[in-house]
This record gives sequence, structure tokens and C-alpha cells, in this order.
Amino acid sequence: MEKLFIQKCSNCNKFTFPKKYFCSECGSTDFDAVSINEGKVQEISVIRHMLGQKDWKPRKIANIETALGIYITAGIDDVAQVGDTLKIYSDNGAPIGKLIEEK
Amino acid sequence: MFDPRIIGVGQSIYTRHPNDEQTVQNLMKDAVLDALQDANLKHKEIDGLAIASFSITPDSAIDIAWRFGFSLNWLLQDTNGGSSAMNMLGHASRAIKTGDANNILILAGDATGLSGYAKIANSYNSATRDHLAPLGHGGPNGVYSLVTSRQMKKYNLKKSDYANLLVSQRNWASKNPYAVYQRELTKEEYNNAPLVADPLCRYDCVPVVAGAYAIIISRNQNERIERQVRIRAFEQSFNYENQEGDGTVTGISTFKDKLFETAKLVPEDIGVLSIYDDYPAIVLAQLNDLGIIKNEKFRDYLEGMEKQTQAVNTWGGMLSAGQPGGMAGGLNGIGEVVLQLQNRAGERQLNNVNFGIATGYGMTLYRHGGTVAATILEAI
Repeated sequence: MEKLFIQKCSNCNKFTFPKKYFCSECGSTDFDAVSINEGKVQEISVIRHMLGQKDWKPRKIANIETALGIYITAGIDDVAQVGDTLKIYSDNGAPIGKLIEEK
Repeated sequence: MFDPRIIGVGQSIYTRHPNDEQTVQNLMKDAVLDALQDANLKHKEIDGLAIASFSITPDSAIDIAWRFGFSLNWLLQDTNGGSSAMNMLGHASRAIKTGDANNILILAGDATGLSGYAKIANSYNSATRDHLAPLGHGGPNGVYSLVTSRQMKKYNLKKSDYANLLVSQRNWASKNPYAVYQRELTKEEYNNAPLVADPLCRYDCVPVVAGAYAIIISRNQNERIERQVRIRAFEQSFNYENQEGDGTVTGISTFKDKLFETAKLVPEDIGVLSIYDDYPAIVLAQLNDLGIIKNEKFRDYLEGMEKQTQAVNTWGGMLSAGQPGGMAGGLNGIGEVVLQLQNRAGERQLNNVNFGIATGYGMTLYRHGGTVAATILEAI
């Protein structure tokens, strides 16, 4: 697991994810990479069925409000619930959240 | 400048389990034949073609023109998913107005099969491929399960509230001979249905079917039909908030006032609505943005659906009739409004309908759809 990096506009400081080539706020093409460390679970869904797959095992995804104020969709493989704060990682670019505080 | 008319609609069979003969090309052929007959046009009179499909790869619009024997002045291929039908309607209407073409066939269809659809869903765009699919996000079901949870939280809705919409659409589907699900759905069945992606159950997830739909827009009238249909207003929105909102408000909110001002109408004037319905939450979001749901009272609206005077998705919508790809599904919504306005909707026919709305919504970028469009159609 690696850190998950998002972009911060070098001109207007707006954060964004996934990768952009122009800032939607100011049109700048210059961005700095900033790591997301934590986020709070807003909603969770259990994906119980996957089209075209018979042996699918349920997996959880969540809408995470990051400490930088933007929202990402992350996978969860522990008992995290809505309201929990998670440590955020990247698995080859896919955001993963892991529980760091008991509710 | 000509004021175009929608002069014909046509469709193929819709089927959950296509046989070897029910390829996308054969289904499109059936829809085209049906639309030509409905429009009272000869094959040679088509001089423009707009097409949208996930299933014609590696072919493109010109291949279909060639294989279908159309020599054209005007050609368009659209890639905007659930908004494709509307986008094609807008472009085709303008092409008729400017004289670029006289009779444009707008065609869409898909026959991906479930595994083909799953493949498309997992590589729908680079954001999905790189950041969602590796999570096992379940395609659009996963994305809209989270949007639905947000809508429930924002408007204080219970899961069972959504049953009203699904039951209503299924009732309409029972009168649509093309619908793949025509059997009555009870609220109890809905509430007890197995979950697919919490809180979405089986009935909340649009059933993928193979099928095709076509409409024809023309500079001339269809003299065989008493009531002609014209576009009274048309608006679109693309990437309206950079995926920074929560998905409970659609791009319709950016153009609703202009749409009704152009039409010189108010929401209460609309008698029939085809609201793009890949997920119930998105139907409600669009109805709210259009001003059909009053004062954000979602539950009151849902509880009153049985006696609604502004009928929604009278063909059963994609949720009951089936989604022959979002592109053809969008066309079916437009076609249904046309049929209602022309008093040709059979058992589904409403009384005294003069204005209808059709919408498109699609292209799930990351957290929700990025395209939305609406038109007000008028019987004259």
C-alpha cells in the first residue's frame, strides 16, 4: 500500500481527484501532488452482486470525506462504519480506507 | 428555417436473453423498418443518420450507413450514453432547420449481453477503470447506491418510499407489449427483494436487455397522423459541477428556468414525462430539478404517485421495460412522449396531453452522471 496523492492547483490551491489537466476553478495547468492521509466515512454500500460473475464475494465501498475537503470513493475491507475516520491508502491508484479509530 | 417534426417512431423486440439472430444490427434493422413504416417514408428518403451504440464496435456510423444502404448528406455518431438520444435529437433538429438534411433517422440499440455489459461498466472511462473497478465497485450499481444513500439522508426518505415509483412504473409496463417485465409488482415484493448494492435492491437496478429504438425527424409533416409533434424547448448540461456535488442535484438545475421560459410554459402544463430512469434516485432528482416535485417534498410526491396527474414513464421506463443500452432507452422515452402527444399510446394513452417532457442523463464520470438534457415536446 502506498500513499494516495491528489492534486492541488499551484495557482488557486483547489484540490482535485482524479487527475485533471486544467484547474476547473482558474484554468491553471500547474498542480502540486498532495497526499491524502485521512477521511471520514459518509456512506457505505455492500456490493453483493457483480454482473457477469457467479462466484462473487461481497465487497464494501464507501464515500469518504477527506481531511482536504474533497470526496473520494474507497474500498473497505474491515468493519468500518459510517462516521468512522479511516487511514487512506492507494492500491495502484485505487483508494483504500482502513479503520484507525474505534467508533 | 424549418420547424422540424418528429414523424415516426419504431422499435425492435426487447429481450433479456438474445438468441444468435438477435444481434445489434438485426435489432436495429427491425427498429428502422418499424420507424420508416410509421413515418410513411421510403428507405431512399432518409438523408441523415444519427446513431449511438456500445455494441457496434469495431464499426462506426458510416459502417451502419453502408450496411443499411443509406447514402446521406448528414451523419453523426454520439457517445454520450444516457444523454445520447437527446444530444442526437438536438443536433438532428438543428440540421433539419438549417437545411442540411430533410429526413434524419435517429437510431440506437445494444446487445451487449450481461458479461459484455459488465466489461463496459468496468472500463466505462479511465476514472472508472483506474479508481473504481479495482475496488469491485459493481459498475453503476455501486456508484448510484451511494448517491441513493445521500438522497435518503438529505430528504429523509426510507427505502420503502421508493417502492411507489417502482410499482407505478411496473403498472405502466403491464400495458406495454414490448416491456420485458409486465407482471404486477407489489410494495411487499419490492421491500423484500434481495439487495444488490445496499440500499439498492433488484428492482432498483435497471435490467439490461438487447433491443433497438429509432425515431425520424423531418422538415415535412406525416400526413397520416392527425397531431404533429414539434420541439418547443431543448436544453443540455455537460459536466455541470466537476463531480464536486453529491449527485442529488442534476444539471437540469442549471437550465430549468430557461427551458420553461423558452417554452412559455410552467411545470404544471406538462402532462407526460419520460424521465431517464437508470436508477430511481436519479428519476427523483430530475423531477425535483424540473419543479415537478414541489418544495423538495419527495415523500409526499412518492405517496401520491398512484393518483398523479403528470404521468411519469408511461412505457414502464427502463426499470420495467428494460434498458436496451442507455442510448436506445433514452430514445424510447422520447418516442413514448411522441406517442402520447399523438394519442397513439394504446392502453397507456393519457387524456388531453398537449405537452410532454423527455430527459436524458448519463455518462457516470466518477461519483455520478456528467450529462443531462431535457426537451419539451408539443402536439400541434
